[in-house]
Amino acid sequence: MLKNSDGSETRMLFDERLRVFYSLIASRQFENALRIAADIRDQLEPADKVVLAALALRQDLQKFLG
Amino acid sequence: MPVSRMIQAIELERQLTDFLVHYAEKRLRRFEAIFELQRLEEITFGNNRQYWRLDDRFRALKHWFNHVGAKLDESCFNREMIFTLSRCVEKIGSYCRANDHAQQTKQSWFDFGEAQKIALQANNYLQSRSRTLGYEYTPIGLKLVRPPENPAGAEPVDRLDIDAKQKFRQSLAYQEQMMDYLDDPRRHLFGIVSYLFGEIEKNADRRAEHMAASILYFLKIHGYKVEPYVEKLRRFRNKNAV
Repeated sequence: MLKNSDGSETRMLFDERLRVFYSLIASRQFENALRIAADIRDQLEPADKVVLAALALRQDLQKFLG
Repeated sequence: MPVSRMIQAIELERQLTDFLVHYAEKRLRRFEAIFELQRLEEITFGNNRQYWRLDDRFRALKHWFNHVGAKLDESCFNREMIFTLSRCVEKIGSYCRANDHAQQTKQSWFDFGEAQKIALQANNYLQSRSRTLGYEYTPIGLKLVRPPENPAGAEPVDRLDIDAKQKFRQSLAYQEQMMDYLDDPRRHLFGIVSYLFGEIEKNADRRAEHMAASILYFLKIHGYKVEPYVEKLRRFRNKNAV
């Protein structure tokens, strides 16, 4: 995880959650990834938000396909 | 729901899944690289007893550059990581820079020649990792010397846009020439489309394909029934796309 310049614990926690978020996606646990992302949504950077949007779209598609 | 729409939805779902998994794997590689860079920072700057002797510090640095850093993919590095790396490289270099007196003192407690080799190795490592992002490490620090390189196969959007405009103009010029060539009062626009279909079928000519699509759209907005032609054009498109 990447420490913030002030080494804040909050930042480390966020980075750890982000890492878990991507680990879950890489292991195809998409629903769990969405749950994790719900807690850090506001802190996500634009590129991560695109990933989140893709995850949500994929979930909608799956509902659509039944 | 029509089967074709169902197939499209399934295909989109598959593509989204592939994108998500590949992107996540790439991000995880970056997380790993960040973790390893922090390890490099610890070795370089750390006051840990383990590195009190410069020989030990340089031994750890050598191991890092040979066995850890070498495995980190160049594409993992972003600007922030390159700057972290450059701070380490500068510090490693500073261990090797000294005036004569200090150098003599240092030589008594570490292998100066070996340290210089490792400093050079660190410098080369930084050069290779920063190149992709357009940076070059100079004696006065890290400088942006050119725009970032693009991954193989990827073209900058602007370049694609310029090319597309140019191709579009060429295609319009082709259409004008073809209209002159096929200008016969007895020939209907559908007749020109049929001629173009022949060109597409024989030569897979994309300019003819564009022209046919353009004429069909023109006819459609003027109230003609064009569906059978559009269907035929779509079949050509699918065949040529394979």
